[in-house]
Formats: sequence, structure tokens, C-alpha cells
Amino acid sequence: MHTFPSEGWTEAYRTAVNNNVAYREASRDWDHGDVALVVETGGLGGLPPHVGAVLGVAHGHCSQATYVTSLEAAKAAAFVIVANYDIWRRVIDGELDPVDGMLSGELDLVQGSLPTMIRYVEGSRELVSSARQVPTDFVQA
Amino acid sequence: MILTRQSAKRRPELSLALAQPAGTAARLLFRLIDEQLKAEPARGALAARARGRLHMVYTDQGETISLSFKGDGRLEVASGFVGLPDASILGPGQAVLRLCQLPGRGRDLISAVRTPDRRRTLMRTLRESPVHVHSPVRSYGLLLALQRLISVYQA
Repeated sequence: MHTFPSEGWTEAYRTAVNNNVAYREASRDWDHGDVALVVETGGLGGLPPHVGAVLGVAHGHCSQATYVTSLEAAKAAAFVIVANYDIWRRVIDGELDPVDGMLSGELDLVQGSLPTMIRYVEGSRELVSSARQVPTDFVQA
Repeated sequence: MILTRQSAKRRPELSLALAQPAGTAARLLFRLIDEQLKAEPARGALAARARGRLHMVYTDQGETISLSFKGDGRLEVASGFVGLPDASILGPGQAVLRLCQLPGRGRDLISAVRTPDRRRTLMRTLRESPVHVHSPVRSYGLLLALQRLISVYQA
């Protein structure tokens, strides 16, 4: 089990992304840059206000996943998706489809081209949904 | 006196506005169209000339977007029902989103049906889509103008 979010969880997530065949297929042509998934923690469990994972993704493969502890660090990525802790928890638990989350504004693309994200909507879904395969412990309020 | 004819037609520019207050769906559509126009202003040519009102109803989210094509180069995106529509699109949010993945230009449509694999993909998308489009023939121009604006299709 890995605590979400943490360095250990981020590395396990990278493995989950690379094991996701559907992601590999849907993002075979992806060469638009790194993707960062950022959690607004609200200070939960003594965490910094923003933590996240920057994923070095290209052509359906995640070569690197870096745990970051600020929004500024996450913004080094071409695409940055931000949501609060409860939303990410619902995504990881499989209760919220990532695309529905983006349409409802619960998952917010704060940086990056929306047309590109829509063009790769299946890849985006599979990338985020890979988190469901990570055995996860959640920080309790 | 020498008469000259201007050979290059001036392409009308599209001015985009988001009416306030705007809901999530309207803001997302506005952002999509805005980014598309910034990358390729020619996408707005049809919409700049179109006149009429189009409603997009997200049946699963309880949100409606009204698009008002003013006919003078302006397009306004608003939340909720604004006036009576000339055409309407109804469907779940994700299904409406898939419209963005359909071709938006004639030459893209040719590309989309060039190979059997692409033909199958396009037909499956259209056949399985739970999106309903209501439009009299005279309003097809609005649908074409919208598709040209939102299509992220790449041949």
C-alpha cells in the first residue's frame, strides 16, 4: 500500500501507467509534453497546499514520474490538471470518471491546450484512471 | 482609368463573447472555441457569417449552452436557454464532447473515409452516438459553423 500522495505512490503510479495497455494504445501518438496531476490538499495531514505528480509521458509510455510539492513545480509540465483531495480520491476509487470530472469542472485543466486534451480524451482518461491500479491508503482528515 | 478587381476576399473575423454568469459547460466550450480560433482564426469564417441560435443540452449534467450567431461577426456563448433555438443538440456531456473528434472541414471528411479502418471508426462514432440533433435544413449552416469551430480532428 502507498499513501496518496507520496513519492512511493507516484512511482507505483508510473508503473500502473506503463502497465495500462489501453493507455499505451490511446496515446501512441502523444508527443505534446509532460502531464502534471496536482492535488489541492487544503493542508490535509500536514501536506503542503499543492502536491502532485509530474509525468514524463510520450508515445504511450511514462519514462519518469516526479513527486512535487508546489504548483509552481508542477507547472513545468505542459499540461496541469488540478483537483482537491476528495475529487482525486473519487477518481482513484473509480467513483468519478476523469472525463466527466473535466466536463463538470471538478478536474480543472489549469495549463495546457484544451483542444489537444480533447483530441486525446481516451488517453487522458486512461492516464488518470491508471491510478485505480495503485494500492492506495488515503490521508484521513 | 484602370479598373482592378481585388482577388483576395477578406475573410470575416469572429468576435467571441461569454455571457456572465457562465456555468462550467459554457466556460469550457468558450475556452475550446477561443483556443481553436487563436490557433487558426480561419475556423471562424463560417460562424462569422451565420445567423441564428443553437442550443446544446447536456442531458446528464442538467446544463444547457446557448450559442447566438449574430450574423455580423459576433458569437455569444451563454449558460442556459437564451431565446428560441433554430437548432439544438442534445446528449450526455461525453457524447457531445465526441462531436469535437469528428471532422470539421470537407477535406478532413475525405480523409476520414479514405481507408476502411477510418470509415469504420467514423461510422461507429456516428451510429453509436446518443446525441440527437434537431435542425431544419435552413439551419444546417449553424451546425456546420459550430463543427468547424470545435473539431479537434486531425487527418
